[in-house]
This record gives sequence, structure tokens and C-alpha cells, in this order.
Amino acid sequence: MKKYKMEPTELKNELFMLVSYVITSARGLYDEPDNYGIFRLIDSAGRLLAIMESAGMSDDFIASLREQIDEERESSMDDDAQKRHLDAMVLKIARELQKR
Amino acid sequence: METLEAIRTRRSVRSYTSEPIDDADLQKIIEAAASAPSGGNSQSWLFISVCEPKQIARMRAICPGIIGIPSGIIVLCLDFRGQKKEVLPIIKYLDIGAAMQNILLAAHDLGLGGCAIGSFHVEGVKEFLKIPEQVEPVLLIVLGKPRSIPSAPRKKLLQEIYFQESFEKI
Repeated sequence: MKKYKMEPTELKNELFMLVSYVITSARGLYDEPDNYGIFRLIDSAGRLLAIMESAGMSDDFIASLREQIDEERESSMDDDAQKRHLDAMVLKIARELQKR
Repeated sequence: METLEAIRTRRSVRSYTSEPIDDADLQKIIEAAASAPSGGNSQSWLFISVCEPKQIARMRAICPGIIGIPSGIIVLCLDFRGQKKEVLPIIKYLDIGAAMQNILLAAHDLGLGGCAIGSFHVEGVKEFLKIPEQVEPVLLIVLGKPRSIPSAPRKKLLQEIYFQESFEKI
């Protein structure tokens, strides 16, 4: 049986808050600019990766993915730069998927 | 920090260290907010601070605009108790804007980063923070010790936005 860093109750609560974030984001997007959807999806991925790390489910690749998401959040990318950044991430994921 | 330097160097910060906000600093920031001008000196604002880490985590779940994990959240509200909301002019929302800028500049002066957040579920926040019916949360400001400072955003040139004496050239 795998040993997690996080107690099951704590993991459940973290995942519940992520679900709350996703549902609240869905509602908010009716009133927000269209491109906010991109930010919400990326932030959801970042939050889920953070939960995985806290729960002891991470590995080097997952950690690097989270770092890339954090890097994007901290920079002021224009649309073209963000598209290129996401393209690079998807390619990286595609290569990793072949190994999993 | 000189006022004009604070205005010029302030940035919207969305990435923070885990360092908590000093109570004395938070007090100074709220005092700065309350020092803002308001139409007719109405001061129709109320401020709610949330600094307990688990409460912040819960707020992040219903406030999608909160990117990163701040050390504090200030909820800026308008107090409509005892007043007819329909007859209140828009100026009261502009007063919140003035308070917002005072908060952001005071935080910057104290070495903190902040960011104004408009993307949150109003009724969800009211329910969660037990805010009364006649009090409306208008804006959130997240605060924390910056982990990194973003570069200056592109700003319009003054000649695009500034007109003297008249909109049209005389």
C-alpha cells in the first residue's frame, strides 16, 4: 500500500477545495473575458499538481510541470508568448506520456 | 518611500513567500484604506481581513481570481444598511477604488505585494464570511511578501490618454 504524506481526510479536503474552485470558476466565466478560461484551467492544473506533491504523489516530471506553471503565473506573457509556452508544455507532456 | 516613487514602482504581485503579515503592518494598511476620500465623507466601506492559512485556502476555492497563495486577503465591502441601495450613486463604488489604491500603496511601502481581485463569487463569499444581507463585497485585495516582482506592464503613452483644456485640438 502506498504511503502518502497527507492524511486521507486532509487529501479529501484539498480535493474538495479544488472542485469548489473549478465549479466557482465555471460560474464566474459567464461574466468574465473569454481568455480567463485559459487562466482558470492552468491554475486548476497547478493546484492539482500542488496537491499531488503534498500527498507524496509527485515525481521529477510532475515537479517540473508545476514549476513551469508557476513561472507562467509570475511572468507577464502576452497571448503569443503564452501560446508558445503552452505548446512547449504539451509537447513535453506528450513525450512523457509515451513512458507512462 | 516617496509617494510618487511608490505610485511608479507598485506592481500587481501574484506570487508570495509563506511569511505571514505582521499585525502592526495590517493595521497600518487598514488605516490607510480608511484615510481614502469618500463622497460626502460617507465612508460607506467595511473591511474584512482574512489571514488564517486554512481560511485563505477556503477563500481560494470560491475566489478564482486569487492566483498563488497570499498571506492575507482584505475584502472591501459597501455598507448599504439603513440606506436604499437603488438611490445610491456610483460614486460609492469609486470610493472603494480610492480605498483600494491606498491599500496597495501602503502595502508596497511596507515591503508587501498586493493585487486587486474582482473575480470571486459574491454570494459565496457573503455566505462563507457571514456577511449581512445589506453589505456587499465589492473587491478583494490579496497581500503577501513578494516571491518575485513582475516587470512593469505596457502602459499607453500619455499622448493617447491625456488632453488639455479640450478633447479636441483647438
